[in-house]
Amino acid sequence: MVTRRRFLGTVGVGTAAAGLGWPRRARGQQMELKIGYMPHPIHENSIKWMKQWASQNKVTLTLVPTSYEVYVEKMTANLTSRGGQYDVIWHNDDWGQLWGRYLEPVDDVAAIKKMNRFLYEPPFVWEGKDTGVAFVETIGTFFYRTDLIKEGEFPHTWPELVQTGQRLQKEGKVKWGFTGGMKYPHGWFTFFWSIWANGGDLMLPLHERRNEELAKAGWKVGIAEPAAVEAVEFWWDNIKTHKIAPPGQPGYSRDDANAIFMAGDAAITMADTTLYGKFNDPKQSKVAGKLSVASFPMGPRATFKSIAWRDAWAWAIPNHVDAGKKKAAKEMLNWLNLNEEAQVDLWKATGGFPPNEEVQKKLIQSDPTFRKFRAATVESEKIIHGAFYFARWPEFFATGIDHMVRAVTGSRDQIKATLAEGAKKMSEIAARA
Amino acid sequence: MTGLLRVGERERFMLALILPAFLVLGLFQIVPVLLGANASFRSWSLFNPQKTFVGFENYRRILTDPLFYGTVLPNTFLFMAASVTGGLGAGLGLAVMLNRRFRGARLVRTAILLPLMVPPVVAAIMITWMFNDQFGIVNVVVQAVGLEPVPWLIYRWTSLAIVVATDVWLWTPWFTILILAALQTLPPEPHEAAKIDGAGPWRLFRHITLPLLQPVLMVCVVVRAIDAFRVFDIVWTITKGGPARSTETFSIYAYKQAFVYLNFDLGAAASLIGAAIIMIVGGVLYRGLSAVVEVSR
Repeated sequence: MVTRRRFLGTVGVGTAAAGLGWPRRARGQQMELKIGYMPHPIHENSIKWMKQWASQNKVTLTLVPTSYEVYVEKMTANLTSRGGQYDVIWHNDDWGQLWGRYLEPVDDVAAIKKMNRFLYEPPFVWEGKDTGVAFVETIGTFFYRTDLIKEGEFPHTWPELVQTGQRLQKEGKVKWGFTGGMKYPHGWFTFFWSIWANGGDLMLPLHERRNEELAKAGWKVGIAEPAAVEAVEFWWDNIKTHKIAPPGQPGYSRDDANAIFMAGDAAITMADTTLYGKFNDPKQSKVAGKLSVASFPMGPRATFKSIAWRDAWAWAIPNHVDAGKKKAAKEMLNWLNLNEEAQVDLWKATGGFPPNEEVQKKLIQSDPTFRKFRAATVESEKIIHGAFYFARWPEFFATGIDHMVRAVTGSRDQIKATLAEGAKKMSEIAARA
Repeated sequence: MTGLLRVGERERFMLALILPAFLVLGLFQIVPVLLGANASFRSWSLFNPQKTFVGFENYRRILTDPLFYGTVLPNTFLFMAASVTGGLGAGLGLAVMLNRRFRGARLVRTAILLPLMVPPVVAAIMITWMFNDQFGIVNVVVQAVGLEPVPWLIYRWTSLAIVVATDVWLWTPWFTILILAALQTLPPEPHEAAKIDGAGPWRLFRHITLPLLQPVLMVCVVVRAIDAFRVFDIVWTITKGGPARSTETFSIYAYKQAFVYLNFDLGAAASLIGAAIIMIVGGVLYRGLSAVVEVSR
């Protein structure tokens, strides 16, 4: 029988042993880098190459996957609590202003000098220092099925998009002309591109992203301006009148829309180029081998020929990580971007543009598909950032999308009023920044 | 007085046993609540580490937010009422049916327990796919009977109905088990006497069984109502509070404020307001329960 004295003694000795044993075990291990990422083809490709670097440098990589839906929350909690769960984290362009103060400056990573500065300013700059090392350029484009739409015959305007969709549906070739993500946080794939392609923007002055200038303009929101109202009306019509998009689209994430496109049920979708590898994989997609890309069909108000956004996803290092780990992480990220094989593989396997511009120049010379992707995106007349970089962006973004979804699921007559209500709230949110 | 402070070996042993639980409770329950309460009186967001004291400003902002009082609270109470009523009704019906002897009764009782073994998030994902407008089985059935497919998750009321139905499905077995256990302990004499007096099955149920079950039913209602008030998992998985925040319940609202909009201050204030509301609701329900138990003695 266990006596009280023996019980207390056992608990005490056990606790002491655990306390003394832990640091000894930790000291005996080789260096470990814990990577916080999202399960996505681009991340997986990047991690594949990180593993190669790690094996060459006797570093253990521990992978911690996190869903996109809770990524910001999880990372924010980790950064603010200085938690030890991650040594390297995925850092999206529109989180720079939130996490800047918690991230290690990475100006000393030489590979950054080989990248386009547009990717960095303002998203990845905090108090004059770079806070992320880009690992892919993220650029939205239109994907379409070449067995249904011939190359060169892709619609250039909104009315042409509607006509093409309706024709294909009428001929029984496809269930839907178009599908794209719509609900928060997936508004880029419907609402945002169409607002930009109609000459509008979420905030004014048009295409301005510097917070000082936005503040000078009184944090004026653009979603109740005619260009944006017409864009939301365009979606209302596409869903309810022209019926070229599924009626459930206001509730779709990018994954829902991608699933429909890959199932062969839609002729056209709008997505990041980084999904090309997935769309073109016959194991996952029924439309593999019959894909091409095009720039955004333009709305009636646009005064320019074409527009695209150009941003990047980066890896970043929390500033509370040990100095040794910071050094190792920087070496790894530098290697990743200077390794031509890794950069080319990123493009070939996924469709993501490698951030190293020297590698891009070589691909332009050697790869016609890459040339086509560039022509549809970064060679557009207008290049903008796809987000804004003030602190209240998550709330601003969510409020905007919520009002656009309300507008597109409500009465058509109420669209303008709903967007005006949203614009007022969004302006208040932005001004609180 | 000194006698009260005297600590012998027995007391030390008791304290040693209590201490780990007390430390866990203190570190993971009491301290976070105090930190949250502190945050609710400050301007506290991720990008503003000043944490300026603002008094009741955050509470004012939550209580005057039309979304909070016009959508979130009605949704929460509606969910609570519908989910508890649905689960109680279905659980009571199943318990009465299972209280009879029939071949395969054990198998049926086990099968009915299955939803209790499914994690709510898994059940919610399953339901979301069932109601997917393009690939879901529900629209396959709808189309098979000649109707147009329905985009279930873009309307407030269909979305809320799906969330409630999922919750009822998950919790009905819990009601069934408790009520079945109570049914099997009821004294047979009142039923036998009523039968001799010529009472039919409905009158037996209505005037004998139901009143005898009342204390157990009230316990079920109180426990489930408090639990339903703080529902998060299935609402988040199925609708995330959408479309356009129209199905947000109290927990989703507080979570979004804190972790989507990163307004820790407003999230903390919303949580404490919710805690106050559920304490009042819980108090009222407990008083009702006490009255019922007192009457039944």
